[in-house]
Amino acid sequence: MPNLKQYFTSKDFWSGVMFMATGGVAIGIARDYPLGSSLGMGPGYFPIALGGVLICLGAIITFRGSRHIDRIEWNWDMRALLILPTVVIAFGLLIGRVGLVPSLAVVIVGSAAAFSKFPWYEILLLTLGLVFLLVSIFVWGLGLPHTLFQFRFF
Amino acid sequence: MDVLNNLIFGFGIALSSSNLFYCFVGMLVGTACGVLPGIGPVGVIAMMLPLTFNIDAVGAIIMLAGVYYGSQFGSSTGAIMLNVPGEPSSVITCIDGYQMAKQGKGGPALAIAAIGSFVAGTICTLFIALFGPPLAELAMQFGAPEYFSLMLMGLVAAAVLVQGDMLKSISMIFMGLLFSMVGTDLESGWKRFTFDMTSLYDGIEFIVVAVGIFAISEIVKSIGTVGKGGHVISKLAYLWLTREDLRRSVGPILRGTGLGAFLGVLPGTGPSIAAFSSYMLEKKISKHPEEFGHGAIEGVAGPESSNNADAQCKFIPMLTLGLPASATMALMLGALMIQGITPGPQVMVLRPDLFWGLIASMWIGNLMLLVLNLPLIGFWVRLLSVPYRFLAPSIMSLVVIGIYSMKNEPMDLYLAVLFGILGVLWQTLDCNVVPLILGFVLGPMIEENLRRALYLSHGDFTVFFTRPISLAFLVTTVLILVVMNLPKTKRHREDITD
Amino acid sequence: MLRIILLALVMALTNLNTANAQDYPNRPVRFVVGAAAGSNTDILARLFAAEYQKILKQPFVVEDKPGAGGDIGAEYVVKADPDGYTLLFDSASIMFGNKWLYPRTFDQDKDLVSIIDIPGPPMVLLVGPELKGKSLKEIVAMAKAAPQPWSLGVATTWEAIGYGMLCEAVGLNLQLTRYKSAQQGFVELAKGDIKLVFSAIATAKPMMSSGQLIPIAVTTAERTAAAADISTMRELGVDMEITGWNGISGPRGIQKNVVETLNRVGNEILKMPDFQQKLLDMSVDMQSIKEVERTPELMDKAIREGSEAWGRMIKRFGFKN
Repeated sequence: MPNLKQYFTSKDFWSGVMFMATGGVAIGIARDYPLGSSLGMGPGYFPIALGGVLICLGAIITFRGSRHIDRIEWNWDMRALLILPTVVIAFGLLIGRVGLVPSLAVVIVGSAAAFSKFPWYEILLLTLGLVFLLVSIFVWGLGLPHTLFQFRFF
Repeated sequence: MDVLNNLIFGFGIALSSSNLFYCFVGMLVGTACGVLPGIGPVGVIAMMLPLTFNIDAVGAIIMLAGVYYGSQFGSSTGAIMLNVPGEPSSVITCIDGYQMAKQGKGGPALAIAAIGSFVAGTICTLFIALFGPPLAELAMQFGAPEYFSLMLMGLVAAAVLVQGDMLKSISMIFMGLLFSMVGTDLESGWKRFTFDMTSLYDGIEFIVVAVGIFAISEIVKSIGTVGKGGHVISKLAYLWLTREDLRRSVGPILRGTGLGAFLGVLPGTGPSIAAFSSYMLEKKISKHPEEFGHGAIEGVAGPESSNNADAQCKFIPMLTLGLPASATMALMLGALMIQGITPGPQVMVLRPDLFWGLIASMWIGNLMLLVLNLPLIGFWVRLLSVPYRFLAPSIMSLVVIGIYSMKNEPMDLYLAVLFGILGVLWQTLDCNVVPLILGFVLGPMIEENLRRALYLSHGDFTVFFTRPISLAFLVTTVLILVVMNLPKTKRHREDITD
Repeated sequence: MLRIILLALVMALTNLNTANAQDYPNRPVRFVVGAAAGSNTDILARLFAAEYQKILKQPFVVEDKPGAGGDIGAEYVVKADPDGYTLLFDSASIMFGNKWLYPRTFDQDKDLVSIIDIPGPPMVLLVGPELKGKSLKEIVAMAKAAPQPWSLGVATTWEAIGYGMLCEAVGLNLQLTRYKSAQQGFVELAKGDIKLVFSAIATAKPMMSSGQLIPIAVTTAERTAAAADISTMRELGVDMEITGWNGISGPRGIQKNVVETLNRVGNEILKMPDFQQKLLDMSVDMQSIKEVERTPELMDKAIREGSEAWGRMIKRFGFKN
């Protein structure tokens, strides 16, 4: 066994944990689904079997020894990783309340904010241009029934 | 030669000025909607359906078919250039296509996708003309046990052929299977993993998963690269295919076409399965499998030929048996019915103009796609030279509006975010997403067919061995396992792994 | 460029809340369908939408929202503005059955306003080529004598109700097999893996015409004009009757004159001979609504009776979904 610190920061350890956790959560949720029999497999049969296999595989991966221990290298840009999901969720929350145009603007300005150097006038031009382009394609061109502006908070 | 006469007759119809026009319009609209994520051929054909009420049946089906294969074609552009698959059939193209684009080889990637599709389209046109109706019989041979064994073979092949850590790959397959269980269980009506949200009753859309894993996590990664002063897209290496590129692509295109044609005849297989099969096959027989995932041209040529072949051959069961393989095909079936035409074996006798006109128009449409798209490659490649800070917000807004437009359902956006974050996690942990995606695609089909096969055989497992086609797939599955575990291949595998 | 954008903004803004019932419709109207694109209901909705569009001179856009037996689409319309620009294209499954099968956030009697009901497709009982030439009586007798229960394939709740009715009427125990699409069932029926299928006639027509599927009986009260050579269940001595049904509803609070406009135009459409021919091409005859002026009250009655009858049957058959 290599030293413990190396072990607990290895890809193998965390992959195994992830698989086991997924399997465990799946079984936890599916435990009330009827299992059925092999003649009529119930809705719970597959999920529970899959969850079980995942737990086993995860356990093997976690504990299979030193050969596969690579350390995790975390080199993701935290700013982008926080901002991008947030703007997508913001779009989902806004679209039914303020309409397409403001929601799109939020996505564009938001994604632009993930870059450290981005002059404000460029962001403004990009937003105006893109909103116009996307609205022309999706709403005016394809005729999708999106409301451009509205005001409905409840 | 009967077939030759029929084809000439068909070309006579397809080349009439009005039908050429319909073909062109359909193909153009289709290509455009293919590039846009979330806007699939289903939505566009549905929108165009009322327009076809007033034109004749041949023109109508030619136009709608144009939308269909045009969209298959267009979706490869987004996959290669932006890592945004427009349709499920191009998800696999993202893997090597986008890597090629990043290495400055976007031009050759787009070119080989176009050429591969065209070759596949040409071969399949001949193929349908020669063997179409008898092949339809093949579709009738596939019941639940056959589909189950076929899917099982696909899963096992994926598990053993994917390079890298085999245990992790298998785990990822199971993970994909698990995600595919979300939604209403067909048999019993149980809502599985839906947390009482109606928006999850129908399960998770494949394109949402793919866009999350590929597009969103890629943008996060690229912004990081830019932040450190790096470049996302390398300088243009070369614009056109080299002799070497072409040489390497011939085999994949032909094999992809064959696979796609076979799977295309079966109405029970989805559009992405053909592309997956071709990708796995090419990786297996390649002399340098380690290049796959890092911009191997075979990984674009094979799947793109395969999905086009599949798309065209899906017309066989639809026209000759009235069996639609997808919602798109069901809409075309509906379009024909509204025109008072009942598809079936007699359609060739009663409406030869429709049958042969459509076949000929498919080839013409493929030619149009090629001629139109090759000159566009320069434009697409130049688009990528735009600084990434402009590109990223553009891709993000396109992805967001596209996903939302699918069903006007905010839940799809939240799911895309979830899979984007999971994609980041999986990359960090070195977990290959290809097996996961395959598991996700095949999951519902495996479960449904297994359960139904056992239900219909009253719980008798031998049904998988007593039916010849099913048995053949199972034997092949075992052979794959044996061959992969022979000492020699095993060593080869490990060489690659290390 | 900027001027165009500003112009577009102004246009979009002035479009807001101008829903004046007097000049309805003055912008595109949505038909929400609780079924997948390409399904029978979807195509019927598109046929109607095209005619409404012609008469009312505004686009009628069909939007598919499949899932939860159609309830996802229904819920969407319930929550929409009752301005008459979002309408639900109903099916029997949504209005008769779902109440009993799905947890709902709305009450269909209060939250949906009937506009007009329109004919639905006839259902047909099919067998594979191995049972060719057999009468319904013989088939029932064979099924009763079989060592293992026969399977009957269905794709929707509507057809599952047909299954329950048949089992009850002839005193048979059949295995219910569900498919995502009726056509999947057809392949297994033609192969002999299952013995019986209930389906809308239109879907089965291609394989009926090639002899791979044999129609035994329709479940309508009288023979359908779409396939006049097929006997009804009653003619063959089996006491069951079920027909498809469709309708158009709006969300609660929809203005009265909007309902009147849509109802009047709907009746106009139903009376057009070439439209009736189009319906017939989709194997839908006018039988199920008879040739009377359809009023919202008649539709309410149809829904009330239909859902009561289905509710009783769903309980009796023990369906969960």
